[in-house]
Amino acid sequence: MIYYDALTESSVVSSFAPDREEDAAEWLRSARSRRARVRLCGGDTRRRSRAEDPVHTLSSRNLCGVLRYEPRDRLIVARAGTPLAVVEQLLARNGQRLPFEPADPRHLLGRPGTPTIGAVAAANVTGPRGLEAGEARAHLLAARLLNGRIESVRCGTATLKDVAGVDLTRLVAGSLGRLGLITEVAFRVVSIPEHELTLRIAAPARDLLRWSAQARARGIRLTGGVWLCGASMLEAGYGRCCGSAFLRLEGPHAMVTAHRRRMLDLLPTDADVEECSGPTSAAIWTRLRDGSFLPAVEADDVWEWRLGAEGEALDPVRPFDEIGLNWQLDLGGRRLLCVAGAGVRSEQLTQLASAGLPQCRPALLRGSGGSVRAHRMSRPGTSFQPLERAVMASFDPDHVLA
Amino acid sequence: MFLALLRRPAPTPVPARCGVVERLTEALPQGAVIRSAHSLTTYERDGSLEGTGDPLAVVLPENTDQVQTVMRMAAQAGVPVMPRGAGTSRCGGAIPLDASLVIGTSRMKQVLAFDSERGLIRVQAGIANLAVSAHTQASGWCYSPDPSSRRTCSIGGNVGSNASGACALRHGRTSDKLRGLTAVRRDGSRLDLGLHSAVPAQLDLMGLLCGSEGQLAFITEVTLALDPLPECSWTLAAHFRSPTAAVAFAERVLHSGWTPHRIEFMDLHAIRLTERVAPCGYDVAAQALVLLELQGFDEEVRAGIDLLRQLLPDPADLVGQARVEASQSSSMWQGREAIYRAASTLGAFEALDVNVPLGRFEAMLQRVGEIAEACGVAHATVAHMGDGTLHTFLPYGAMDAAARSRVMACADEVRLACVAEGGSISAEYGVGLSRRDLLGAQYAATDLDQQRRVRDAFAPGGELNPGKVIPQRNGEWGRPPQ
Repeated sequence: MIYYDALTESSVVSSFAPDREEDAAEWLRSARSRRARVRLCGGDTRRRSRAEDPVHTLSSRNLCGVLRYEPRDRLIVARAGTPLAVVEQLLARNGQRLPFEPADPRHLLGRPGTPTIGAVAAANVTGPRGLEAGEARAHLLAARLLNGRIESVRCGTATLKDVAGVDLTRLVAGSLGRLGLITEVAFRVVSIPEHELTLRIAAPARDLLRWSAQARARGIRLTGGVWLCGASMLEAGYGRCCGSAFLRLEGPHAMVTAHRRRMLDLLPTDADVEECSGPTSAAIWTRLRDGSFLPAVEADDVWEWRLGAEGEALDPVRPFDEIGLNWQLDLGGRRLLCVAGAGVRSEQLTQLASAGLPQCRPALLRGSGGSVRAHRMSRPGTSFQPLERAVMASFDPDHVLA
Repeated sequence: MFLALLRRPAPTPVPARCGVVERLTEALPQGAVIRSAHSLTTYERDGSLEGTGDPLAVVLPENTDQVQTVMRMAAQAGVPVMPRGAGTSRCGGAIPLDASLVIGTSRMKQVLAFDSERGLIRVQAGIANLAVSAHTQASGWCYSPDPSSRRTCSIGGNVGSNASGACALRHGRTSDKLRGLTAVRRDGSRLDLGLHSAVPAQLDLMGLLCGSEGQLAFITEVTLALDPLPECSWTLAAHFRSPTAAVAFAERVLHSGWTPHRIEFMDLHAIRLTERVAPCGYDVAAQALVLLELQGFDEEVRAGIDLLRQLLPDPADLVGQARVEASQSSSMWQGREAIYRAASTLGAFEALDVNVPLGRFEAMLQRVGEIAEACGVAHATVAHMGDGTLHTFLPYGAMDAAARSRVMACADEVRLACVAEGGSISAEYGVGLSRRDLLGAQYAATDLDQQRRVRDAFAPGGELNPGKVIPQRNGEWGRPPQ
């Protein structure tokens, strides 16, 4: 069952992108007094709303600037609208990076816009490196939020370890604008490793799942595990194959060498393994991170299934293995991406998903014809839905946020 | 701060309370309800020295169903409830206030499932931290979060306080290991999250419950991710002529790309204290000691240790030679691990668990010494250099009220100094009772109001572990923000 909570451009009544939190608060206060519904957004790379009524949009994209960055602290504090690229470039100049490799969604969504650091927190955007580092939410140290009560609330403390008080950062990360406008974030940062190595092995998707689990059990630190289908491999110029598993190792040279040897010991002796390192490897992982090996064109639907933590049934991909669509599985980013041409009915895909990934939430990231809509599978009722509503109401009692 | 207990008003007698213990006794298996005054004394206090509470009774359920029964009956009778793990809290988190009904987890110690292929284990909340590793190590797995009380502290308590220790640098905190959670809310309803639920939550409720100090729900079962046992493990120990040289070395290590399993600092007072109680070869002429451990594959760790040794400063900054040993045969960790035992030889003490941004670590070390000396209080500090957590031990000997008061004032001053540096009053133990009134120094009133509203969304009225964590706004025992 799919419900359409489409948001078309015409349903946006007004939009506002303040450069001061005080102005955002004033605008939000006015909207609340008019009982207007407000949708929050960042750099406008995605569209999402649960409202069918006309909405007003409030964007954090002009709340820009790095507020605190001292490489010794191993953390960065920035205003929410700071472009992700600005943050990443600043960190890279000091030999550091965000631990969880956030993806750039623009290729898949077919949108312009600018990914922002605030949206990374709001959507818990995590890439392949999440396999080793965990999701973005595990590294969000603090956030400032303008809630539906028009209060500026600080959640967490910008220091590496803190257990004082109720940890609201866990709610804010991935809350998708349901709790308030994120105005500032603080993330942990890590050193960029000396060396990276990619192993590409022609193999079916289920082998990636098996190897990843075996590697974890043996202490092999994979920092990426992605499977790309044969059709996409062919279009990317890799030649004909059933699909390939991409595995990544990172760290000092001696560490990568030791882990590579153990990883190769795990693989079948006749495995077709190709290796690359340095910029070639980095370029491959940028494309895998962003899903840009998938040839999404204007007429295609792009679907995403969010996967849970490790430990879920390790054979969820069999149905996808058998279809002739372009798709990839990213274990660290915890998502399965699928590009379906106009001829494929969404009902077919959702049936496929229900059979193969019963615990996952599929979402249509981008509808055919280039229109941008957010479709989501309806969820069965759960015991915690009323509780989630109560928690959301504690931030936004008047349901100002759409 | 224990005087705060005395200032609290006595709980209002409610007629319904009178019968709830009898009803629980009837509903639960024999021996599950403890009500004799003598037996209750064990449950009046915890690992802190924050005074004693006033439990209505103690209930020891065996499973989630029984916890649901207890919570339902307590809610109907209007009786507040205090979840209790092993009672090792160092901040008064397990002292029952408001004549709470104490629900203990000492009969909930079962391993419910162990998946040795995927490294996942589902346990009841009462199992001890170390017992998890004991159960799994034959299959090549261990549970990494290592609070200092890991021999006795319970997993439920670990989740409740998001506990961690020195190994958090490499392996993460409890929240990073949590994969599934079952809890019972104030009204007796059951909450299954993460792998325990067929459907994911929209908000990260599981992450929120981790570290909530028993104020949101009673955690009964958890699924934890395990780590593989390392193939080998080496230790490097170096004595320094100054804390500055020790801190600079640690920074070079953290920037090298090698992430130690743990990297620990001890100041001269901690070196001398532990060497007296648990001699293991520390050089008492040193001003600082750095201990680090690398784990992994054999050739990887040997290469890493060699490289890290090259990061040591000029010999003029060192006291003696750095020691590099296989951890299995090394005695160098014995002193560090004996720090609590060593501190207790001085009598009663207050242990801090403050945190500052790493760039302020050295300045904070110095500030701790200045504050303690100004207060006339002895001090010894060990620290997790990977995350900026300082454990300063402030002994006050016998239970002398004036000495204790001086130490507590000193401890609060250090905590406030950490907040002023952008840090936290608690990195590991939690807020509980003893730091509750300082939380207003770390958070503004609007921040605490939001925390309070979220707590009330789970347990209206704050009737789970009442009187802890969030200070009363304008309440009779609240302290205004500094």
